[in-house]
Amino acid sequence: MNSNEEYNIQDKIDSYLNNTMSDQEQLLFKREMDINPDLKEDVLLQKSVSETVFNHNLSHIEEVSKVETLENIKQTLKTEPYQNHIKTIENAASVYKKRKQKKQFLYFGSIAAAILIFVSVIFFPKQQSLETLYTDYSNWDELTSYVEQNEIQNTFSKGESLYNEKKYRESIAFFKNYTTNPSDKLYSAGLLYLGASYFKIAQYDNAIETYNSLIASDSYDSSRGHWYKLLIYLKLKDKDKINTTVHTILKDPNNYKYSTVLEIQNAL
Amino acid sequence: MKQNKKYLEALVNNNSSIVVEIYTKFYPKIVSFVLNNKGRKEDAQDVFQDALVYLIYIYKENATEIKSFEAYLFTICKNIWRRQLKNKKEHIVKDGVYSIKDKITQTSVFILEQQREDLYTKCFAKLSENCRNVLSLYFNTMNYEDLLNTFSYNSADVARHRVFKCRKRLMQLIKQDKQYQIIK
Repeated sequence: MNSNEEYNIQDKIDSYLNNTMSDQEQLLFKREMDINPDLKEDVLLQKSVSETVFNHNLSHIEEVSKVETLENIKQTLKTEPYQNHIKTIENAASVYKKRKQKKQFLYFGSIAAAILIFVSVIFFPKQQSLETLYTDYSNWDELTSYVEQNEIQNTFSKGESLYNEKKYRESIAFFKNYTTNPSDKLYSAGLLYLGASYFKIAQYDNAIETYNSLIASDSYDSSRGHWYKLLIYLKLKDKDKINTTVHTILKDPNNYKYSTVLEIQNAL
Repeated sequence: MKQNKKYLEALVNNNSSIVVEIYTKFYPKIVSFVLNNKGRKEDAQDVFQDALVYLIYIYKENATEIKSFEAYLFTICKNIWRRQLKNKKEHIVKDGVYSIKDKITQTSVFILEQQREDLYTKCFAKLSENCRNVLSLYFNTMNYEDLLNTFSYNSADVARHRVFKCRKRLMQLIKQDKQYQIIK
């Protein structure tokens, strides 16, 4: 096949995947796929890659080849060894739950004692200082590790190591690379680490700006931006901004650290 | 024995006490992630269980090497939850109601999709940096003009040629991987 033919086929695949073919063209292309399994395989692979790596929604195209592969996985999961694995996991979940309930029981028992202490000090209320709140709640060392099994993440781990080794200026230079393209899978992770690195070297304005970018992104982690901004304002003892940020976080119970921020609001 | 291996072996060998340890150590983080992302505790339970089944599956069937148990488990849980949210949204849009497939089918669909994602991401990472940037930008915008401006290509034809080459290379890398034949 020469290059021109290859280009033409690719154009057709693009039109088909992007749903820009006329009904007639689509019908002809489907027929072409029916008699040419290699073409069909290419189309399905490109659809799958577009959806998986680039988050495109191509659900208008039916995926026939999946059925057989899926059936193989289903049959494997139905075998005795896998059913035993699933049972072990379910049992572990139930043991874990029971242990947690027991802990909670002890915890609530101790609440009775705590109430007594509370009553004894209620006539002498003392507002927690912003510094104490910051010390109690700051969690800069609990950033999630994004190191996984493939090469992209291995590269990212170099930045995590720089951060953990407190080489913040180097980690800033490193994480900036991940914060230029919002469609990058590690975009929000990059912003989280970049903001924390700025904070560690007291570049608070840069840290705030970084977290604003995180908030503006449509990532799952976006609401974490508000939390880290709150920590910075607590550190800076900026009462107005603390109140505004607390108010913003408490607008939506789905926001990161919602219940912790409720505690902070009560303590303020 | 390294922690990663310890947890994977425990899952594969049904070692109850270590599987409980996995719950104690990692489950609270997943609960908080799901609760922070429009989910409930029951959702977190399903997500965590599916993620553990996935780890067993790829460890047993594909002998996949996992460098960090914690980070990979967290990513898998995030992916499961992302897909569930997306499916809910699509089903609501399409049917007005969310139809629930049987559990084993749901888990199988996830296993297949995650295996594909792992393979594609691995192959994508093998491309040159320029190819990765070109493809990311092209698939983001579906527009050769943006490539012209960003990469200073002389014409849309040159940009088109570059996208074609990079995409072809990515497809080749995927097809050459032995895993592809199993999950295609």
